[in-house]
Amino acid sequence: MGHALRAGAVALALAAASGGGLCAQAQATLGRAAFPDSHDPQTYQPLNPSGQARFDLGHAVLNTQWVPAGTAGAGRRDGLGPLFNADSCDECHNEGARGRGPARDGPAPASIVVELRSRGRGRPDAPAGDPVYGHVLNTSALQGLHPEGTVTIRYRAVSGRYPDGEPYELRAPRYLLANLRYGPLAADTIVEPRIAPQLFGIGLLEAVPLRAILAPSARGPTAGTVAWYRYRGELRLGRFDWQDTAVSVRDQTTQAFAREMGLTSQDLPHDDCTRAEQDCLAQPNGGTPEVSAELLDAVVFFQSELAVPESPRRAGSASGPGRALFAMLGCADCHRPRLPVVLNDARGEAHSGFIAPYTDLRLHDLGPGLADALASGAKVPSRWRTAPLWGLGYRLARERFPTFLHDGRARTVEEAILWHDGEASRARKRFESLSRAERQGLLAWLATL
Amino acid sequence: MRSSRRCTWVAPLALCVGVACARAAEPCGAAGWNLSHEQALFAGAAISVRAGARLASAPTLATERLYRLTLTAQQEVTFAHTPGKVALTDGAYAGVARIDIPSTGTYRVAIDRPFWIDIVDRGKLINSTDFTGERGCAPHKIVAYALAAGTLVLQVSGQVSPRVEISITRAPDSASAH
Repeated sequence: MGHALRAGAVALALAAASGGGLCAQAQATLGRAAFPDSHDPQTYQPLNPSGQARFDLGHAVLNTQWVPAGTAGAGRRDGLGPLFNADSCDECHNEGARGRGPARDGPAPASIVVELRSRGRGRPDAPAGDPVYGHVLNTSALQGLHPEGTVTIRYRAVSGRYPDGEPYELRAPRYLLANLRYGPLAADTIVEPRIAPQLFGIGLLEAVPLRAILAPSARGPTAGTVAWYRYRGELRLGRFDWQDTAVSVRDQTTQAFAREMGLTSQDLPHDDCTRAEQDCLAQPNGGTPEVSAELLDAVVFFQSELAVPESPRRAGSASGPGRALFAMLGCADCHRPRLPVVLNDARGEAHSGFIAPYTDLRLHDLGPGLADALASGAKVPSRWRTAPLWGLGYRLARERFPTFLHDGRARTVEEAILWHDGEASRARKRFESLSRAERQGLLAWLATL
Repeated sequence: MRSSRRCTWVAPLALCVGVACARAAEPCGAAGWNLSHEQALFAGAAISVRAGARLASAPTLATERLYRLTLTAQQEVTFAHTPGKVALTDGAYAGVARIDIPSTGTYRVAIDRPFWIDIVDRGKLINSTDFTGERGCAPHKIVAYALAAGTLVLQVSGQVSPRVEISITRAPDSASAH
């Protein structure tokens, strides 16, 4: 095993040696790797033997199905629930990939969870969940208990037409919550359907310096904002999940363990049972904590080292008109093609470099069409983290029914663009005004990311 | 995926609460797959068989039947190929069987518990072409493969259960998994 950073490290060294003479677009970026076997996720940098062992253990933890507390012979993997949505990380993040979205009307797939956030309780830096149901509506339960409820999706077709006359159709979802075990949600609870995001590259996003996020390249109407959260006694910048609600890979992981799988950790020693759920609180646990420090450390390390899969269409097609259109339309104002990172290699030495995630990690208002709603039904203004576009080509090549946006409502990248509004309305309108050939050129280029 | 024996799901009820009024859980098969053949098999009696702890002791399974396989502690099983999914093996059971595929086409392996399934052909894992699974439904998980006629190896692994019910059936329209 070597210790050099993978793809781009040589180019970076050359750039440094030549005074940074390579232009930004030609300069190679870090973090990508070929994933010839989806069951064998790759790292973005070589690991030494102990790092590789830690990565492999983390991979095994990601894939492990947890079982109820007290299951005979379960060893390190008991403590599931009592209320939960999935029994393994892998159920929603298959080998690090984004969750499968809904293909049609029907029960929400396990990879879509309904997060619950109180508008009236909690603080901006410490949001509260629903007073009875907690932070996530748990749709499964161990034997003898009832799930908190069911989630069904119904789509309504929304027809539109480009200025050139070409028609399109979007699908607008309605989320139907039923069989609510403990009665209605609080009226001021915001219902937030969220699909499991991809894990690829999140360690690299964590390595983006604060200053690069706080100083956006685009000022004015598309500058967006950021969110800060109280985390282990410190105020930290949110940069993960659909709305920057997690401050680190570890934070995101322990939240998911506790709220979606009912697994406690040293960081979050309580799962999502609230005081109103006495039957849940009365159940035995699988240890204190249920996810040991060793397993938590390993699964966080695994995610932190994950590369972003290269697109099969990458070679030879990266420099078409699509790239120029992407910039011209204003997409790149928020989907920033280049961010700096500071990474530690296997020897603990810091390296500076660049990644091409196509995000600014900032929050943007994308209009009422995508906004969440209160339990009472009223829409609430919602801000979304610019979704990283890297790995898009891998998804498009691999997934039978890829879906897009925070709840998988978009069936194509084109539909996802057409849902953009609010701060992104100008970019969307410019996209709509392109010729059909130009639109297809842009979409073809996006499939190379 | 989760075990239908360890968990409970909400029974179909009609309630009107929360953000909208909804009828409760959809019938099994709402993911769009025609599962009628598997559902009929899983509603019937299963043939009890002990799965092999190694290939030499593996039984041969036929298609279009439901089997109840008795498994062995995973650390005592010698697989024909390392399982395709890496996971903790604490408390896990596993087993190996041969399967006779009568003609080339798309087949589906259905199981009642979320075991990891591998099919091995001449020492190589065959990638699945699709999968589905629904909470509270029998079968619990269905994985589709494009298989060539002949004798292949089936492996199940990873779950904390000494038994699994399993069927291998030709897909209704063999040109597609669904």
